[in-house]
Amino acid sequence: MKYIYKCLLYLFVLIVSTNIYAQKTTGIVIDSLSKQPLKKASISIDGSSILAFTNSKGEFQLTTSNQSSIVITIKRAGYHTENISISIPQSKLLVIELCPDEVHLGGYTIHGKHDDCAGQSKIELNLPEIDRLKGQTLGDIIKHIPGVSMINSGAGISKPVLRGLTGSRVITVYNQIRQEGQQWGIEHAPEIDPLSIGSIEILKGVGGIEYGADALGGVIKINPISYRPYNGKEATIYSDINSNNKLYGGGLVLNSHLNKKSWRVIASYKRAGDSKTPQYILSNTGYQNISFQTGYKYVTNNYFMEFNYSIYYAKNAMLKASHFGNISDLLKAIASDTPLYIKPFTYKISKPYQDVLHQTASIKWNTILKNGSTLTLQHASQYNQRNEFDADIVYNQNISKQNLAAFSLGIYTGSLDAKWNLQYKKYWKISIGFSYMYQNNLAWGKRYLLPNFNGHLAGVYASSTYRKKNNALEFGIRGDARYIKSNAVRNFVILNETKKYNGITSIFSYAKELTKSIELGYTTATGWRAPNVSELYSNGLHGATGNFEIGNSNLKKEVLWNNEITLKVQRKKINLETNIYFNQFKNYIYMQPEKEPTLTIHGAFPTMKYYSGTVDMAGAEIKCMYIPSSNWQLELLSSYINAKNTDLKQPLWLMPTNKIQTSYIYIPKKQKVLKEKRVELDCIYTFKQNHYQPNLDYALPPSAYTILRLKFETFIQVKKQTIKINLTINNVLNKSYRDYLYRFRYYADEQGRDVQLKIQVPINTIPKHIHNN
Amino acid sequence: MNTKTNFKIIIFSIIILAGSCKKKSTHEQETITTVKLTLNNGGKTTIAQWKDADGAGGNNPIIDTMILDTNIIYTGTIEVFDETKNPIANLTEEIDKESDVHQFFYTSLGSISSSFTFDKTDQDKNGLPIGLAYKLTTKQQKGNGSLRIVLSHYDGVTKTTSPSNESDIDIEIPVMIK
Repeated sequence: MKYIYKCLLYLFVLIVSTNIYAQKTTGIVIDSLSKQPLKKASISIDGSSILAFTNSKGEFQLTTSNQSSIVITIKRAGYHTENISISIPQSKLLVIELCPDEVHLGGYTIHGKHDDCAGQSKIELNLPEIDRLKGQTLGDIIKHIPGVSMINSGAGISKPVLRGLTGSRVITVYNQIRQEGQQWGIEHAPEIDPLSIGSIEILKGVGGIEYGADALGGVIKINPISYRPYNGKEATIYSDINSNNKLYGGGLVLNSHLNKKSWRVIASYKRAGDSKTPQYILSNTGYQNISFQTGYKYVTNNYFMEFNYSIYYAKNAMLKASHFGNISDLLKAIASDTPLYIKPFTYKISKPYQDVLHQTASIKWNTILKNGSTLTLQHASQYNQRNEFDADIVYNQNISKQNLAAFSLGIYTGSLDAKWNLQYKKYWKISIGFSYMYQNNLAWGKRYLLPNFNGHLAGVYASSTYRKKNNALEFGIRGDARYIKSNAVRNFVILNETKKYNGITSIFSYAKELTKSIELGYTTATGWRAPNVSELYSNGLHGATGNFEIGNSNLKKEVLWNNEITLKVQRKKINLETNIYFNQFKNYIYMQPEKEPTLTIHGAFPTMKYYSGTVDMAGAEIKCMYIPSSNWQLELLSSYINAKNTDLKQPLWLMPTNKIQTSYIYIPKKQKVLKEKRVELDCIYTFKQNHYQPNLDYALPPSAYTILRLKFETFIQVKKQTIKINLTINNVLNKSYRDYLYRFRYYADEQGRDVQLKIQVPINTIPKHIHNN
Repeated sequence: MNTKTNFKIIIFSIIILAGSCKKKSTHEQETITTVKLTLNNGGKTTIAQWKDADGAGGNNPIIDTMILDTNIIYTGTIEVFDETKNPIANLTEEIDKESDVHQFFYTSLGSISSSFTFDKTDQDKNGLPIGLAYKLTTKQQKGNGSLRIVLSHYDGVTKTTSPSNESDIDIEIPVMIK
């Protein structure tokens, strides 16, 4: 059992006395449990793309220049990625132990995670890739992944869309906790500080076995920066400036480890003013973010405990020109080529705006039982308060109330998760879990939109994977029950209603390595989702959308059947990942405009009602990398989706447009380690949305457009510190365009050219390696 | 680290969250339910109301027809109420207080549109019309038409004699001249 304990101790670097050449670093990568060498593990020098792979004996060699210390990243599918700091010249053979994912994390995703050949589509972004994008919003970090789109409501608010599905159909998991806020609105973005992100995994398709039903679109799993695994302290200071909205921001990451204890602090602040298009200022689009989190981890020989607390605050202005009184104002705003409200640049955030405060506290306990299986228990409490301030529209005799929000929503979520992971015989891995979630939502303010409610959600699941030689088989099943008790208000009358839903989520996936470089996978899955309270009970004017929204309390649960084929080709010069999928929905819940607008004293408003219907979706995604020479890389990313309401024989509203992105990456030869330069030019072509209902939308979908993006990465050595500099230019040609999913496309163009500069200064104390045998 | 410290952290985090989820008072909705036009001619008073008692959505509003006589000059006022409140909230004073950022617009519609015209008779501190008080002049053509009443809000923009792009009130009332 000793090796498992060691694994939990995070001791991956064992130094064995073996003399080697000064300029070369050699090492061996082994499985921490079986002590078997691991082939095909990739080694990169953090932040650069110099790569080495381990051979069949698990050995690798890195050629490095004379540096005092470097950080290397060791990755292998199915194992926890390790970043370790080593001294150069390294006179000893590095022995790197990688922990299998499920043991190390105490939590693992049943599919796609620990293999090269899962049948389901999964994309992972690791630290160097995220570092390049860190000053941006979470949405900007992930929006270039095929199959991922964003609904943008200004610079600070972007909401992920996976394969055309969004809102409560996409679950965001942060630090293994299901992020619970007000996810139903298209201008409600996840409350996560991008600076704290260590890695992102995006699981497309039914991803609900571990994280609950609902995730019909997929799961965005965000892991915060890991705790430091070896003794010492380190700090990194980040700073950002953007030219377009004059954003400035900074952050600090502190990590410390001493024997059994580690702690970390991540803090950041960001402030941006009005964005601008090539022609005009987008008045009232600034934002402000403050985030702080801290964590403590205690590791012993047979268990670890983790405590985390985070607080996130955001204040987001909403484009003033997008606010209108009623349908005739709206038509006037749409008819105008430029927004009807343009003022000089300012950092000031005026009405309409929203502010959000999200707090999470969690406790995690993971232990290894006598038979070698692991047990994880986790409790998390989240409180999310959202206030939406409309531009003044209603009167109140009491002037002091004018500054109150139009409506406020406070939601508390308490969750308890238990999971048991075990290995059965040689080829089986089994995971059994239980989860329970309690929610309480309170709504208050000047207007009614959503009811107060209490909710309970409980689920049990079991999943297993079988892996032998070239075959991988995975299956899982989960049962959930949801209970919602609400006090809905319809025109000043309170209705008390209780709803109960239950259903089964299941997945079956098979993958086979056809040849050494070709893998083929197939997945079939079913999932379901209970209608959320906004779909059931909303009744009122939603200022952010300008629609009068009416819920439908007769909605039934939404059921999905998903089928997917994936193909992966990995050759020396070509790396291809592609998939094709079919989603069939029963009772798909959607909003549809009513023929008659709602007549109010403020005028007539377009009225949206919730309905359900049968929907078919089909799509394909491709990611292809071609490496013609050691200093050039070419990438092609593309996605296609087509969704149809088969009852009405009509396309679905607000489906992402098809996209093609080509990237040209140049990495100069013979670079010094840690002073690597990298230049990337991206050319993104977005097609026009041709699938739409002609009479549904206020304006026709915007035309196709191409935008260019340039990324430049370099390092500067100042004394002992290696300063990392990223320069990104978005919309290089300063083009005017509007995206179909841009929520303000009716009134204004998107952001023009934006030069973003990010500087990262690490302040490291050289790690003291622990010798532990 | 010992168990005591563990518990301290647990208790600390629970306190933080418990503190943040205090009960808040729930809906105190604000709305405008009623627009009331009062016309005077000598001793005779004519009233026309646009009233949506249950607020936006739900039941349709009850809209009176404004009945006018030919060839008369009426002295008129407009009042705005929230009748969901007890006592009924009169919002007219609010508009009057903020008269430098508000203005009513009266538009005659239909075949008889040239037969009933409005002249605003009040002014804000900058000398621009408000429209809470007006004169309504009818001519001799009889028939049916309608009146559109818009309350423009000049939020962040300079008030002029033209409507703004933000309407706080926008309603239509049928008009009959007999």
